[in-house]
Amino acid sequence: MSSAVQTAPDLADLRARVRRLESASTAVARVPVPPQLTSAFPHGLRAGATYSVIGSLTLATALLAESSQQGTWCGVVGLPDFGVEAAARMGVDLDRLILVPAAGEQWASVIAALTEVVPVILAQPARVAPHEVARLNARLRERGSTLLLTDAWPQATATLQVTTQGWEGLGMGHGHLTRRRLRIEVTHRGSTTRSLQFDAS
Amino acid sequence: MTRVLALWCPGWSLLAASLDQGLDPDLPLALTDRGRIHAASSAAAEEGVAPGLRVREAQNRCPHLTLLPHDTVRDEHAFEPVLRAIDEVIPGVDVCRPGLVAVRAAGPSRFYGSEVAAARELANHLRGIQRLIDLRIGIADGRYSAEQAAQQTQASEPLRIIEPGGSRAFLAALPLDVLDDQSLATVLRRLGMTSLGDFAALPAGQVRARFGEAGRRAHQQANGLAVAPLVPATPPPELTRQVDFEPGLDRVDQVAFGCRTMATDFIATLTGQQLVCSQLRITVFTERSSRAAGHRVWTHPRHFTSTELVDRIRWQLQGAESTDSPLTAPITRVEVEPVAIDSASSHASGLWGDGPDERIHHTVTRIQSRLGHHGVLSSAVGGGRLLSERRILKPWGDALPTVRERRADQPWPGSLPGLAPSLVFIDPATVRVLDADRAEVRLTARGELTAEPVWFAPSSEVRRVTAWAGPWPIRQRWWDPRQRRRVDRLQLVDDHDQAWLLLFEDNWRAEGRYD
Repeated sequence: MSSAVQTAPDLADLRARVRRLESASTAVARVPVPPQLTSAFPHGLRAGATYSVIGSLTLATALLAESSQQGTWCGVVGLPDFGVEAAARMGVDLDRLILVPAAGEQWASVIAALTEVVPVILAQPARVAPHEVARLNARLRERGSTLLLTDAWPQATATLQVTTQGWEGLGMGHGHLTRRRLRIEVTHRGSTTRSLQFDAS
Repeated sequence: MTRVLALWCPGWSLLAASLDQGLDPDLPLALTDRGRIHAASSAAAEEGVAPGLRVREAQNRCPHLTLLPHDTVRDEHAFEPVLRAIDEVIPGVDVCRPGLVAVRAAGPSRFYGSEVAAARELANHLRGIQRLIDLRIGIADGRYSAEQAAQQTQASEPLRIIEPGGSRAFLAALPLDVLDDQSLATVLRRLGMTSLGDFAALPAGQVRARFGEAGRRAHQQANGLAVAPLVPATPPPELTRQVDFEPGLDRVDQVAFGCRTMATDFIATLTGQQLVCSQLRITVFTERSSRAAGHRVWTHPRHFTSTELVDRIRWQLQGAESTDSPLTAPITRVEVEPVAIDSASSHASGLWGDGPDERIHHTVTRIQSRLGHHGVLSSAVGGGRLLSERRILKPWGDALPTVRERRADQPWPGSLPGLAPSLVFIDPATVRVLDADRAEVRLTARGELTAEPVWFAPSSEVRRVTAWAGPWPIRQRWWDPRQRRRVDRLQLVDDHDQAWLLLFEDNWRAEGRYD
């Protein structure tokens, strides 16, 4: 009985230490973000972390593009319909883009293999067992690769919930789409929510 | 002066072409080069088709003439078995061009007894290889004289021997047409000469002053002085490898396993020659027929390793199995032939290890060998009006079209203005576009909508259309029945704030979505 009372503060203490270590180990390597997102991510995305970008592939691609423009390679996994022209217009260098349209059963192992060479990976989450998620997270931390997911993910460092605020350029029977406004709600794990505006054109 | 034996196969290019295309040698055939006839078969020559004639004129004279482009690579390729056969009788062959070779005559004449016996032995050995019947042999002092002697023979008298010391007299009697440089022959004719002897009689210094280096060389040849020494070519090493299965194997993994040793040997042979292979052809033979059941050329962005080669064999067999499957019969033989080889030194890794791209390529190739050839793709933006045309996807390692071939910078009237959709559906799903009365909106023959779109159903759920534009017509390649497209595009935003691109061609399909 007394031992249980004894462990409780230790656990909290350990958790705090783990968190400190996690943030300290990756304080050096950061993935840049578009200027409109700097208020939520002042230091960019953390290397070795996972981020869920729910509701907009465009925003996820914009994050990928920011990194691609620094000259790194990028990977896209499990998105057979990925529009490479839109990605190229946003600044993704297609010469340094690896597409794995359907990884199927080997989803986790393909991403684990890609982490060896690709610092930023965009993936459509697949059904993965919890222990594989933990192993994948460890692998990402070890390699310092950032994983962007297009849907909810159990242990995401931050979740970006995107809703479209409106489209510009298209009328009733005339015009064409020129611009879209997005509203992004960023929820860091165990932290506050913050909302932002993002324009895609 | 060295005695030289020259072997000439008249009309080799024609023979090579008819062998390559599997044509009947008795049919009229002509090879063209830059709009003119390069060579014509005897059947064509009877109809009046002669070298130098314009293609249109030749077709006019002989309407059922088969025309093929002249291809030196094909000539060389077809000549390879002949060369190997010559090498078996007399080693040390110097190839002047496919169809004309020279060998030293002294050794063979000692070995076979006499020059005539050596020539007869060679002719008997070669007859029948690559459908070769007409063979001409000339033996003389020096290479040029021997080549001329061979070319002066008749089909009825295929051997001509110029006795030692007689070459100069033999050459002197030849007409000026035998000179390689026809413009030189024209000038000499204008100067009043008729035979090679007249040319040879000119003082060497003056010929050089008037005609330069090329003239001097021709003058030396006409004098029977050996200019080009005989350089026996070392035969290129045999790089093609094959593996035979007895009895035939019908499972892909068994075949791939059986090919491993062959692949290692193939790469090891190349490495031993300090070569690397960046393109190869894999041919598969089955029990069903003696002919190849399927072949495919594989390219590699750098160069093949043995595991990558085995992967290619596996993919080729798997690909064939998934389609209409010519490989239902057990596989008896797999052949690997290098198509493009390069010096290993230009592909060597740096002193400090491989570059970053090398590491990426290595990892990606590993993923690809697990997921299959089409499992990992590289991409580019191409030119076109439809989104699927603008997205170019190629398996990792295959060459993307060049910037010129993509034609992305051309205007493409009718292509999508404004934002590019982030999702381009590989497999466009059928959707419904409905008017206010929930009746389907269609297109009239004049390309107008039958009603304003009010409702939109991407699945069973119906959504209200909040904004739309179109239809934007795309009419392309009406001249080509296979590539002809007649579609209309509609852009719309629904009340879930999702924007879509739809195509109408008999029914509405979702082309892309702005996600």
